[in-house]
This record gives sequence, structure tokens and C-alpha cells, in this order.
Amino acid sequence: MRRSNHWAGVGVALLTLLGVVAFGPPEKGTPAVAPDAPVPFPRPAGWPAPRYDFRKNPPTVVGVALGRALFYDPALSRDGTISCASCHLQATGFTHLDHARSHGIDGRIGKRNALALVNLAWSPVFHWDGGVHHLDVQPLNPITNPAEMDHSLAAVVAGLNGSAPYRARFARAFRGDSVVTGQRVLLALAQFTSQLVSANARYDQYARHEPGGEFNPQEIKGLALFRAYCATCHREPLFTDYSFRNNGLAPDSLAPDAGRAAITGRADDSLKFRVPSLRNVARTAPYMHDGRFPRLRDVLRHYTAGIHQSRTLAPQLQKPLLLTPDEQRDIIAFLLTLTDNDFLTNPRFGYSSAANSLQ
Amino acid sequence: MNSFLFLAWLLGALPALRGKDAPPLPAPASGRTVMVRPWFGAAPLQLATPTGPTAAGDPLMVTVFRCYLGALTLRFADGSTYRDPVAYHLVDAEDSASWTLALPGAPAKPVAALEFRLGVDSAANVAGAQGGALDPALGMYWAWQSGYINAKVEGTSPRRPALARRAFAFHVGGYARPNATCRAVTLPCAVPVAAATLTVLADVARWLGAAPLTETPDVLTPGPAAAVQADRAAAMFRWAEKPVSAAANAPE
Repeated sequence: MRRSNHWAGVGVALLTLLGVVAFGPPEKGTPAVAPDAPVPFPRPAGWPAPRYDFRKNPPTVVGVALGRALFYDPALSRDGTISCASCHLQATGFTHLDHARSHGIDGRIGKRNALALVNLAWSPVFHWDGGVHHLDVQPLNPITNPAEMDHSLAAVVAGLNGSAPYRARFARAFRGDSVVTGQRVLLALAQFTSQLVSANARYDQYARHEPGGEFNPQEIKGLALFRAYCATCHREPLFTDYSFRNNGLAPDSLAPDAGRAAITGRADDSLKFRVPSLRNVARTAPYMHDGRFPRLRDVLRHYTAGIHQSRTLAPQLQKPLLLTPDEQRDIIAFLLTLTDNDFLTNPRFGYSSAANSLQ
Repeated sequence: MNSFLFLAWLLGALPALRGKDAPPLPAPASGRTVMVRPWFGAAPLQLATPTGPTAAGDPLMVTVFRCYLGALTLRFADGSTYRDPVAYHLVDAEDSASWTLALPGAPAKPVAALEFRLGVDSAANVAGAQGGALDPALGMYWAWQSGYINAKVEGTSPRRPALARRAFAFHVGGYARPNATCRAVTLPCAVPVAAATLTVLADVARWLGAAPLTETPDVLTPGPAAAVQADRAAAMFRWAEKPVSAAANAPE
């Protein structure tokens, strides 16, 4: 097993806790765990403090399980067909593989490429344009967007209040009060989404000098090139600096998108989009806010030979990055080390028919 | 003693028994009520009913009117103040119960002025999922650009384009400078008011009559136009000139 003992311990403990909730009373001999037991949020070594204020919404075993059930429940959409997981699949880093833009309710196509959900507890901003400023209120967007779930939080709340099993779960998660409110739906979802931490890729093991974290010469070269050419914006260890940049994508005349400027109203923000994290990037294709690049090598080619000059272009990209084809391959070799199989397969984050069953 | 006499004795004795054993009646309860009545010019606001014209000359019909009031404060003639412990109230023209803002802890002293905020302050705007009057399920929170709608009015007017289905909508929000839209409102009383209930009119005719609808594009995002609307909305509040019935806005 490659993970550190500390993480393994936490993971096993959490699996046990979730198992209690999901699969009924513990077997004889298994220590009983209080359903309102707090879920620890260990900060990975060398990482900054999370941005999310867990004191205001302390995750509990039942709260996280409730948030997970909501995340995987298509009842959040107007016609009961679309769940959060429809466009955010665990196996592909919680994004929508092979979809430049995702299809929501009635097959409607969204405006932008679904972002990967990863390390959200550290993020000060959400969405490509940063219009959402807090993890709690992020779900309002997909719930209400006509191309996604086309519903309202009030309607979701009314539906959940009509479900005795959900009311019972809300009562367990919120100190005995079974009334479902918009606030509690959002808090439960945040208890789950804040847990989506990816910090055990081979890169992390390399950084922690752990066995199994060895890099081959190409990956070492790729890391050096990455740090020289990419890390200003894709800053370690989160692989983003959460800034908004114009990275030289030629505007799509058929689907104009001002990006950040649509939120701030500032001409200086025109064509700027949030710098996405690169964790699990080998699994999260396609790339960019409109999903225009299907492969990582298309992305590298863009940065070396495809930069579209415009007034708000990031200063770092004003001069093309002169990377040889070999150097581009080295960087991609390094990017593959950001794939975190523990994250992509962790049953804590996956769909569980037992956990979602409301019988 | 037959039963009739016993009953007569009991009735006669009751006041004495109560005087002896029952706790003294409480002193007249202090506490005040601020009544915020959705209004339109000279009469209560009637939703979905043609009205006007406004001072700007627009006939119109209001279908939605809601606003947040916060930091309610009574300023008394003696210089002291009482601050409502409830942070925010959502006043909704559709829900007459929401017009009554109870201040059970407020003393019964003459009031010289009422102060409040129209809207939600920036701290509450960035604090994540809130409950009570600030629950995002109440439809006063923006999805695509996080933050509260401080006040909204929607309706139709023949002065609006047919292509827009004659509709108008002003959703006033945005907490970031320079276009923050939360507004402080002070309503001084001409003479100090001793009455338990203070009736404030939220006169939508003042808001919508501030400019012709033909010259006022819809406002549904934060920005300079929202800030202008916030000023107009804040100016809609005034004292009722005569007592107003507490009943819902039934047609008169």
C-alpha cells in the first residue's frame, strides 16, 4: 500500500463510520460509532490551511453521508433525471469525460466545460468565471441553471420535506430537527464536497519522499520544466493560484464568452477564466473552459504555438513558450503523476446504492 | 347547602381567591411593532392589479415586491436606542404576515426616529449558506453570481416593449464596492410617537416613479445601474400619514 500510515488510518476509520451509516447497525463486536461523530479533516503535509470554515459547518458522519446521497440523487433536478454526478463522475476526477460541454435536463447543452471537483475546501472561488464565492452556495448554480437541473432550491426543499426517509436523515444530521431547509441542503452538500481531497498522487508521494513515489528521469525533467514554465499559475501543491487569466485561446465567434468580465463588468477581465487545478488532469479531458482540446498534447501545443494575442493576454504568455516536442512530452509525463487513484476509487466518494436507498 | 347556593358562594368567593393566591397580573406589556405596508401612492399595493400612472407617467402592474430590512433600530426622544435582535426580515407583498416586524423587547417610550438597512450587509453576503430570513431557498439569492437580492420589484407596463412581454424587473443586489446596494434608511418622526405600532409605508410608486420605465432598462445584476435603483428603493419608505388597517391589502 502506497499511502502513508496516517492517511490509511483516517481512511479506514472513515470507511468504518460510513459503513455503519450506510449498511445499518454494526455487526456484533464492531464498536458502535455515534452518527454525529465529527469527521476529521486532516491537512495534507505542506499544504496551506483550507479556506472553508469547518467551524461553521462541522462535518459529521451522518452529515457527509447525507450530502453524498444528495450529490448522487437525480431528485435535485426538475424531472428527476440529472444528479450532480451526471456531470461530475468520480472515476474522471469528478468531471465529465469526453464532453466539451455537458448535457443536462432534456439534453440541453451547458455553456462551459464541467470543472473537476477537487480540493474544494481550499478554493476561494468557484466556476470558470469565479461568480460563486463560497462552497456552500455553489450548488444553486447547477440546480437552477435551465441547461443543467432547471429546478429551484425551494422546490428541492419541498420535495425533500415530502420524503420521510430524507427527513429522518436531516434530523440525524441537524441536531434532531427534521425540517429540511435550503440552508441545510446546502450545508449537507458542502459537508460531502469539502471531503473531496486529492493529495495522494505519485507526485505527492514524491514530494513526501515516500517509497513508491520515485520519479523516472523523464518525470524529473518534466517537473523541472513545469516549474519553469507552468507553475506561476498552476502553483503547487494545489496546482492553481486561483487567479483569472487570459491564456491565449482564440475567442469562439459562434459562442462568445467574456469570462470573468461578465461577473466584474471590467474590460480588463475580458476573456479571463479561472486557472483550474491540474490534479488528476490526465483523467479530466477535454480541457479549457469550452473543452476545445481533447488531449493534453493539444494543450501543450497551444501554449507553444497557438497563443492568440489580445489586450488582456497573461503577461507570462506574451512570448511563446519555446518547448521542443521532447520537452512537451516530458511535461505530460510529469502531469501523469498527478493522477491520484486513491481519490478516483475511494468508496467514501462514490455512489452507494445502500447509502442512497431511502427505504 | 343545595347546589345552587354552593355555586353562588363559589362565584362570590372567586375574586377573593384569585386575589389571594394568583400571581399579580403583569404590568402592561412593553414592546413595539413596526408594520411595513407595501403601498402604491395613495393606497395599499395590489399585486397583479393595474395601477398608476406613476409620477413619471407610467401605468403599470406590480406582480412581485420583496425586500430585506435589517438592523432595525428605534431612536427614542430621550436619546436612547433599541436595536432589533433579529438581524434580517424579508418583507413580501404576497405574505401579509411578513409585514409585521415584532420588537417584543422594545420599551414603550416615545420614538423620535426609525432606522434600518434596506438590504443585506456584505458580511452576511459572503458567509455561506444562511438560514431563517436569509435562506437561499427564499428566492432572494443569486446563483450565477453569489450574493443576496436586497429588493426586487417585477411587473408589466404598456410602456415596455411587446417583445419583452411588457415586463419590467428590478432585482437590486451586489455587495462589493463601488456598487454596493445595501442602503441605510432613517425615518425621523415629526413629533415623537408613543403608539405601540409604528406604520411605515413601502411606497413602490416612489421607487418606480423616480424615472420613466421607457428610460430604465431591467436591472438583474450588480453594477452601477443596480446602485441607482438601490437609491430609489431606499427613498420609497415613509411614515403613514393616518392609521392604516393591519389587514391584508384587500381591494378597497
